[in-house]
Amino acid sequence: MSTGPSPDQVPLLELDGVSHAYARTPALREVSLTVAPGEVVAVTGSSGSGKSTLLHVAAGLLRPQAGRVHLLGHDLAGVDATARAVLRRSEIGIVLQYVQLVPDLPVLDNVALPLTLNGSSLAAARTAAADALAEVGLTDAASAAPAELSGGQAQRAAVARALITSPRIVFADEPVASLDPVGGRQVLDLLRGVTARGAALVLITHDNTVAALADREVRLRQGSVEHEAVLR
Amino acid sequence: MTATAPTPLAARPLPAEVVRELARLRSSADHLRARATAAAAAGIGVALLMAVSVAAIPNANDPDVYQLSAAQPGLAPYLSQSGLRPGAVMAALLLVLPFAALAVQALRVGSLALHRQAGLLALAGATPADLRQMRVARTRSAFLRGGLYAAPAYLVLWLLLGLALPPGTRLLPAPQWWLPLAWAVVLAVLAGVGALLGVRTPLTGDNEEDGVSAALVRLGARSGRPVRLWWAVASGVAAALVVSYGIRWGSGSDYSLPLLLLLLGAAVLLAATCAALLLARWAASSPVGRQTRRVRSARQLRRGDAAVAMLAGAQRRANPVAAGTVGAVLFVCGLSFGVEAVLVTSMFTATYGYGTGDLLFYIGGAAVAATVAVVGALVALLALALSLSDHLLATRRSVAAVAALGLEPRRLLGVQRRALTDTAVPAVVSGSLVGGLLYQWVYVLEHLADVGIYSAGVLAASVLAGVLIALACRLVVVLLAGRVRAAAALEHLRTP
Repeated sequence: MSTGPSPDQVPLLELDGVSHAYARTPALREVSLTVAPGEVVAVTGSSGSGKSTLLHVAAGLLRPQAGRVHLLGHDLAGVDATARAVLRRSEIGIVLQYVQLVPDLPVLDNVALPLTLNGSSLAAARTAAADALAEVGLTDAASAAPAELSGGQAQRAAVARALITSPRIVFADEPVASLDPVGGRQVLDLLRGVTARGAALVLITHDNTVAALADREVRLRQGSVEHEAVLR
Repeated sequence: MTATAPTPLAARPLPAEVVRELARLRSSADHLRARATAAAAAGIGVALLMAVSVAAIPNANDPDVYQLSAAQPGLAPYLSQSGLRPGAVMAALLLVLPFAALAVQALRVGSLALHRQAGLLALAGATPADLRQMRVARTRSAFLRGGLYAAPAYLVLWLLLGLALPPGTRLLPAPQWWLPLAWAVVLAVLAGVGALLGVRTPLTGDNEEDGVSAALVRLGARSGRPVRLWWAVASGVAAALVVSYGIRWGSGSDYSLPLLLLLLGAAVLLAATCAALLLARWAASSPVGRQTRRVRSARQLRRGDAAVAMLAGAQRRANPVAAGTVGAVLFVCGLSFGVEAVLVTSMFTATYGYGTGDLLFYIGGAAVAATVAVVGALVALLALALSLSDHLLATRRSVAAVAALGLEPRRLLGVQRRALTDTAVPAVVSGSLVGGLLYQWVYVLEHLADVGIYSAGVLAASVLAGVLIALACRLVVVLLAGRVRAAAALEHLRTP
């Protein structure tokens, strides 16, 4: 069954026959995937199925060894490291399970980072970051160091940072795996909110209840697409 | 389906305030890195100012190379005699090497955290150029701060080694009107070197092929760049040597002879440093080196505390650049000890005899040269201790895990002692043997002296140097004991 965006929609992300291996261990084998504006796609699969590699390839963090990746109209094969960084800080949001806030920067500056890297003045970026933190309920934690936050707070700060530039597509890798159900729900609601303005969300998860919130599920097994289904 | 034009992906340089903010020193490792780098830069600056000050001591018009400087009375003969002055300049320049090794090592303090931070910044959208800009800002400011201390430190040294000493024994000339000018040049040079090191120290996010993804995983990647940097410096000196020789040959005069000798000495020293570095790298990676290490490790495991030997070996292998760089500098210091051993032996055994004044002159010269080599060795050892301390900080979780397995603090200190001595002692002893035995052949052939006596002298000096450096290693470990115990705290088992 071939599912995906309707023919009148320009896909924000298009993977075509992507393969990648770490040393001699294949992680992705000929994976194809498209994501349309406003769509929530859940990529599921067991540990080692290639989910995280798929996200890293799709977000331009990793160059695949074969296949083509089109992200927001750019063929990533022809985009150098600098341009990919510009793409990350201006039009993409990324949320990972661990290691994402810079430990030496206060939470406010962490959230302001994509804007300051994009050339905003510190004052303007910090004002926007304070607003973004207020939206995720972390106003009181603005001056705290990331190490002082709980897991849920750190994840909400990461979401605030990912969304501060109003990205056109957000990638989230197991964003609630280390959170309690209430905290997890808060983070998922924040992420899902991006679709209201036409942005897409690619959600990597091994949790079926999280995947059930998506419009479409793509299940990986040993680096290949095993199953693809429209959920809503 | 209509396609929309993709947004242009042009990167602009970061505003200065953003660079300053992101490059600001925050963690204790950041402060330690900046302070150690500044101290090393100050050492380089002082050594350069000393070299320039000595080289600029004016000569009389007499072409005799043994003429005394009339402009700076009261100086020791090693400085006042124009023929000996290049040796003093050389000694000052020799001091640049250990301070450079210290600077290279200081820049690596907290490298694991730096790699991680760079990976996270890249994830947030920092371009390779942005990351370079931040690194350059950090290293250049640390070098500049060190450079600012150079002239005051020179004045303090002049008070101690110049003004405070009796006339005829002063080891530093009085500061001249042009010292601020030389200081400004040294500052500019240090700022340039700082920027160069900032550009050339690769961090996560630089390597396009690896991508940010791999960089986030491989946080502890090591760099082989310092070796190339040493080669670049050696090539520069060699080029200067060729040019100066060309000038001398062209002019047909002996005017540039001291400069020629100076550059020749610098080129030999740097070539020796590069060779020792490459040898250390080869020993670490070649099949022969690996086999030798296996045999040596097996012997050590049989002979002493197996756990200590194994952990110390792993610790040294974890940071081959520090071991290689410091080992190379200590090897050069060893070369100096060996040469001095031959000279001292000749003073006490030469059949043609020295007068009392001559003996004092030569012993004084050897003592000054040995002091320079000892200072160099101590600075190099400090660089190694810095690397070790940083390694403990970076690997505190595994150190705590080893402690949790039952390795008591006493044996953990033994691991550090072993890691230090296994690097420092062979480097100094082999340098002393190579320098001494090579120079003794020249000396014996020239003076038809007894080779046995000179070999015994070199051997004794090498053993003495080995014992002294081993004692210095023990002292360093005593000073590091607090850090070792802190790294072994079991609470680190819960930190990522």
